[in-house]
Amino acid sequence: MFIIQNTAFIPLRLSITDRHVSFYQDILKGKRINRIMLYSSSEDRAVCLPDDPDTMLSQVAELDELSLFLNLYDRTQNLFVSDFDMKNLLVATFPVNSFVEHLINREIDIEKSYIAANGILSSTVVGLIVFYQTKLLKPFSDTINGSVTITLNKTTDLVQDFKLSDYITNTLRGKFIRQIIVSDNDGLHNPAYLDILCRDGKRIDHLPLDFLRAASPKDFYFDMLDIDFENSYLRIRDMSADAGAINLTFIY
Amino acid sequence: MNKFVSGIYGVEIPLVSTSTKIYLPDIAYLRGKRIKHIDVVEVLKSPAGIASLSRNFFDSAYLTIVELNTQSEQIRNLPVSSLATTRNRLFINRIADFPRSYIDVSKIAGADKTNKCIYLVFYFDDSAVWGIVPAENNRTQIQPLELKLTGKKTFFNFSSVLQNRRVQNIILNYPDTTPTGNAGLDYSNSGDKYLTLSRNQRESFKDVPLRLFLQTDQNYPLLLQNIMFDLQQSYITTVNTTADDLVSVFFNLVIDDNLIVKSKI
Repeated sequence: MFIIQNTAFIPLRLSITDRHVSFYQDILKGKRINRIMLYSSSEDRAVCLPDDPDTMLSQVAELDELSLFLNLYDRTQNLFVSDFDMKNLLVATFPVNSFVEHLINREIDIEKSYIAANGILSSTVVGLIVFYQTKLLKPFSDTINGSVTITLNKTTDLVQDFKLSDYITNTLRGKFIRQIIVSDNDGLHNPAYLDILCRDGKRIDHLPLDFLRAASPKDFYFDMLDIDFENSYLRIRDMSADAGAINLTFIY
Repeated sequence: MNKFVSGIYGVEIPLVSTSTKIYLPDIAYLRGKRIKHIDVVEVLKSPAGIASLSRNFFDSAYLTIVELNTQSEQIRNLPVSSLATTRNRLFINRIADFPRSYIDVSKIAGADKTNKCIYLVFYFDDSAVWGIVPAENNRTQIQPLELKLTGKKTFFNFSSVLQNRRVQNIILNYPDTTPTGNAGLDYSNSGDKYLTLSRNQRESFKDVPLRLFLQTDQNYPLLLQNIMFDLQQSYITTVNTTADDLVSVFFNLVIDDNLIVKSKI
């Protein structure tokens, strides 16, 4: 079980000369980093970048020829994660959702930390998902007080943005969301991202829905999000022109 | 959720076509040890070079564990398929009387048992090896450990980074190229390779199939009880020694990075 408070999506574009790749982002400076994971396409379903619908994420098979290793320095310049094989941190578009649960839970030196790349490099693009904290986590309870399910109908368009307030009634106003469950009609598993802004400043920046799809002992929960639905979106970024429907269940 | 363990032993149980009830071997090191979990593993070749029974037959083999102190069959006729590592591990929590415990293979045809073995892995407490786990156990490091195989038995080299470090988990990886630029072991060639780790001159991890250290999928992570291994007394064995076998095996070790506070008396 892992509790998400904030996420950052960082596109990593690796070229043939990149052997040490930085993932510096201003927003991560001074933050407690909980976890870092990779996101890619699978052979069954391709997905593109949330802010660049023309760029497809590399498939898992391509990553097999490329070895990526995570290296993290903490504030005392201590290399506390050295050459951690990032295949242990990989989620791809459904059905690939197999990773080792590893917690970092430290402030890292975001400028000095890097990803080492060995092997065959071409134009590889992966998504880096950084889970971080800006405040203490709220006490967790798995008691369900209620839930609301919405259905978003995807057309054959590859790119669609759904503003959540168009689908959410006032039932969820003032409710603190602890879990979001994703299900797909017709088993199509359309690739998409959740882009959530909360009233207290928490931010879920383009979290791939695939993190919330496969039920497993390694489920993801949220840190009691007070979602500003007017400024939150589900963003479809599919490379297949399949119509379908995605159900989002908000549990509070 | 897996429990803390401080010892892991792989045990090969040979079958013959006429086998009906196979008693577990009496292994001196396991006498009196509390068994936390048991895995059944489909191996390409055991350390003795025998192929294991196919997993297709795991539903037809039944394990009975006789508890040492009470001499009662507290775990009776458990299908060994329930010990397969694709699920989270059962908490056995028994001190087993090994020579009286057995596997019933009477429902498996003779031809399917010929020249085969059942490979069980026992996870247990070993007070001579386990370390203190701090109450606030929330800081870890991850360090690499790589070994290039040179033959049937390859010992680890000394590592100043890992010396006297308290190990909480060992994660096996299959990179195409390791961080040092060597060709990495492929999954297809890992089914006949075994890890043995020593501590205080004891081989407390013995003949453990490498694949058990691959911890993705639906498994909870292994929980090793802060063990300080003697790497130079530890090694990997391989049955096959082709060019595809004698490559680098690459692990990531999860190491306790908490302060151990000693109490003053």
